Amino acid sequence: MNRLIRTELLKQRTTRTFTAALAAVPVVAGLVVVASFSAAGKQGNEPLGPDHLLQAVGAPASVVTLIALLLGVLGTAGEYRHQTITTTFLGSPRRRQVVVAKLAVHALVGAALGVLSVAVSTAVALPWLRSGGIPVELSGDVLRVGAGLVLSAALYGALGVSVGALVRNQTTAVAVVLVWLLAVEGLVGDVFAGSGIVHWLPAAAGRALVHGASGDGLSAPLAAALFATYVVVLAVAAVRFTVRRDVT
Amino acid sequence: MAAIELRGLTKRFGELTAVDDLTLELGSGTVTGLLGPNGAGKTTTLRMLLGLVAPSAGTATFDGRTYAELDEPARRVGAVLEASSFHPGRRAVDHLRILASAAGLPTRRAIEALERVGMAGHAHRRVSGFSLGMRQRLGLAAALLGEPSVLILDEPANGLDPEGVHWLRDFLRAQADAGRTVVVSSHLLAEVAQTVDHVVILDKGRLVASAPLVEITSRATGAVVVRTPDAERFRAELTGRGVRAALTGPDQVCATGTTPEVVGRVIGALGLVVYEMRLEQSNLEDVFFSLTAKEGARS
Repeated sequence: MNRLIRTELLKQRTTRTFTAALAAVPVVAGLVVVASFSAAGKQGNEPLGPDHLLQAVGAPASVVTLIALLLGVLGTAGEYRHQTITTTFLGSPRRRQVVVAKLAVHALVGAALGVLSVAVSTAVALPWLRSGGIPVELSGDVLRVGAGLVLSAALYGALGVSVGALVRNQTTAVAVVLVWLLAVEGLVGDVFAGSGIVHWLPAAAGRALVHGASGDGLSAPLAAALFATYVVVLAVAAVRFTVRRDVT
Repeated sequence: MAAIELRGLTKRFGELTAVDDLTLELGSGTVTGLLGPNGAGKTTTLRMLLGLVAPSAGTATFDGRTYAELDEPARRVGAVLEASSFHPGRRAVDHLRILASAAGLPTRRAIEALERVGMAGHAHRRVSGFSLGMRQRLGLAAALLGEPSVLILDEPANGLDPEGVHWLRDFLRAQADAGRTVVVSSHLLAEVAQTVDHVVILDKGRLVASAPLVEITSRATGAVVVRTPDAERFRAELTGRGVRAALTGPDQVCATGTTPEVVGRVIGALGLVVYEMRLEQSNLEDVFFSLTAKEGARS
């Protein structure tokens, strides 16, 4: 199993997509701070205050989790696209272990991207606020949002692996996750407005896991449990499907 | 002892039976050509042998064990199934490092394998810039990583230029000389005829022939071609004497299953004007074609 995990890590490290993702996360995290802090106190925006640290840490979550998700999708669907799945399964005929290694590695990659994002946000925001004479510290809330982002990105990475393994066609798999995130959950929210069902959908649970309850939404711990359940169910389906299907 | 054994191997895709009750043994240290027209079931057979496609019935084993049951499959069996199974953005050496890592092999094997296929100079180039011939070589390097005793290649000559085919032939010969058991599939017999010891012919998923190459070539028979202005009468005379003959041109008759002596006596008896008479040795491709076509007509 260690061998397979090392191999999957090596696969990630040897593509430019991964390098680009690794470079994009700190840039996004830094820019988010610069943009929101520069605009503070202007044109009716709230002036800089202690709450801005919490915002700065949580704000890149949607981008970071999307990157983790797409890396996961490419990690499996990309193997089918480039037919490397053949050599992968020739080298490791125990397919269940291959999928489990991919789930583990992409959770790890997601978590690493999350840590990177939180670190850069804090490193830029904290001195900025302090130099403005605003008393800020790494409060429990900031740590909770930071940890939520890391956990969410890890779970999204694994989720991407499962979607890629189930859909197999890379273009379709990417389209499926984007359409889901950008349209489906919003539509469900509109159609069943007021029922609260929208809070139980995966992306909403992923958001609540980072940012905590909004309005009548789920609390962060409940959202974490729900989102993790989605991830596990899809992972089990992905393993079973991958083991059964012919590679032609 | 047979290195590879197929027992009643069958694969059905819905209504279609791609491989039909295939039973076959391939000896250790032999080079086998797995031949048949496109759609004969060659690829499906090889994929079942390698555990990528689950058989509907029957078994395919290496020394009695299925591919998935082998302890370190990459050290036992090397395979190239597709013309290109690489991430285009990856460097050649990284592709091999990944496979070496999965097989638990030292990473230096990656460079060594590239040297073996004459690609060491391209180790750090990305695969997207590779020609088909270079990709084929990279695939072979991947198959050789674990120094396997069995090498399985699916249509390795597809799309190669004549130089590439020549290189491949030498490569296969070298692998055979090194004592490896090689299975190479092709839809063209001539492509592998110089390399293989044993020929297995499939058609419509069924085994048509499994024999040493020499036995297959001995089935090749000659034809006598005669050019004469009186072609139609000559054809009728030959047929009347029990010789199979056909018009193959306005002034040309082709007699098969006979000898130049027989045809010459008929010419003499008729006092025929002859522009040309030649013996045409039918090639392996004709034998191959006649075997598969016959099988097709029966079904």
